[in-house]
Amino acid sequence: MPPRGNRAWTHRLLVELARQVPGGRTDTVGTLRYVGALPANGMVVLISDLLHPVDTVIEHLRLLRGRRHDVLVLQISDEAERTFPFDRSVVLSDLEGDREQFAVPDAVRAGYLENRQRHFDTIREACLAAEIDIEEFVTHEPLQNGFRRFLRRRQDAVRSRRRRRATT
Amino acid sequence: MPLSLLTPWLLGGIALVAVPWFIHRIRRPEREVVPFSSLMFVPVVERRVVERRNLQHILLMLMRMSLLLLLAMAFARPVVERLTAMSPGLAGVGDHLILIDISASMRSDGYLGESISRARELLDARTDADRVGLITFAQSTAVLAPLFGEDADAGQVAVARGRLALIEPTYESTDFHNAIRAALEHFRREQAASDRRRVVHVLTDLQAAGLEEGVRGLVPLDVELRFIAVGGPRSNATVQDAIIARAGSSLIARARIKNWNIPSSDFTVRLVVDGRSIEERVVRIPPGNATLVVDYPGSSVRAAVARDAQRPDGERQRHLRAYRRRELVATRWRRMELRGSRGPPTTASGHARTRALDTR
Repeated sequence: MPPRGNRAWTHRLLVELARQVPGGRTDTVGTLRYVGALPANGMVVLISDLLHPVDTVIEHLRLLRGRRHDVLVLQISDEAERTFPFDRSVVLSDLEGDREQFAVPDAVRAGYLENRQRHFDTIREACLAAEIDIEEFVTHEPLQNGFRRFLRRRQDAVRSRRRRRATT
Repeated sequence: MPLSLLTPWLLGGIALVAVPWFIHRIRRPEREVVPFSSLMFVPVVERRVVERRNLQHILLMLMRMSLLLLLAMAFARPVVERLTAMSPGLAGVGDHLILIDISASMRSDGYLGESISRARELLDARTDADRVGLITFAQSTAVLAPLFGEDADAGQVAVARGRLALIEPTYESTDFHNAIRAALEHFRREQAASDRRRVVHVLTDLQAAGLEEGVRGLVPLDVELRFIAVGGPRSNATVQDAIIARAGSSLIARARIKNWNIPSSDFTVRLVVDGRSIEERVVRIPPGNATLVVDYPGSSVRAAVARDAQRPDGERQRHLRAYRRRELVATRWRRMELRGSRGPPTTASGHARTRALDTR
């Protein structure tokens, strides 16, 4: 759906979102092409698990900022991704591919958590440098908690920006 | 030392070791496939990690099996046998004390002769480095050849062999406790020899059923106790003791009859004086180390003693005194016997004044 500025369009947008069924692979190139065609100076809300190669993610975000969009990144995480809670050996099946990988939790947990932390730390640093708001939403938490936290931070950021402009 | 089991049927529990193996087999996991958002952070498991886990599982299974095996073994109650019946072996250098039973029962069927032959075999198997002592026992004990002592001959095999010829049977009953204590006391006198192997060989006709359990507890761990049985296997009941006692103006013949292992039944106990049956009594004694005291009161005994009235009173008194000292038989002029039977056919019993209770 292309961006529009009226209330009815917003309603349609929400209905379409509710109808969406997750599936398939992430089409990075297609998404970039679409976003690149959008008018500048808009607001882009990226809702994603950010589970893509870190260079690709940062490249997307910088591109958006380059077109002077106000970018909000809502990172969605599943609790199992955050803690790797398995206690028995399992075969992990990639939801976005055909790959399967045998994992012994005791042997891989520490490495997994370290790799994940490094990935998101890099993204956060890139977001910070590009003045992009990013907030993590965990699926098992009530949605309003994450939003409240996100809005409060965003409000604080806007205030401090105004204050900074006023002083300069 | 040989190992045996008190409850060997519980070794059947060893079959339980199959349980961990079975569980290990059936729980071998079909790896659970879990959908996961991305594998980009999941390190590849090295092959050695997988092999180590497999090894851990196998070790865990083996430990569980070992635990069950040990439990089964523990329930079977293994014991180190210190009491080896019918074991004539004499291997090894050390101090050997040979105890020969000379109680009345050893008079039967050439048992004492067999016992002496076995003792001679034991002595023949000795080396020069061995020391050997010879003790005879019944109610009391006598050291025929000392194992230790100031005498230069003490402990020598040749001395013990020579003393074998001096052994004669008595009419006493057997006191194993006394014999074992005497042997241990003999060892105790020579503490310096404690580093040598110590063996007590007991040559006796007493069957295992007649062996008091307490004898085992008497023997310290550093002393081997070997029982060498002479004679064939048989049941064991006996006139254990007999005395003449005064009861007012008359006399009583009193016999103590013991039944170790013969199933409960009636025993006929006969009082015989000078080969003549005076009185007989039917008694019932349950098996299992049971003892019964039987009195033969009054006239019959007096009559038996009075039968020899032509002898001087002094001599009769000597007989009575002899009886009171429990030296019942083989006095110069007369003997008193207590004979028993379980009814026809009458055959020899094991352990008595003269084949007291027929049990075969």
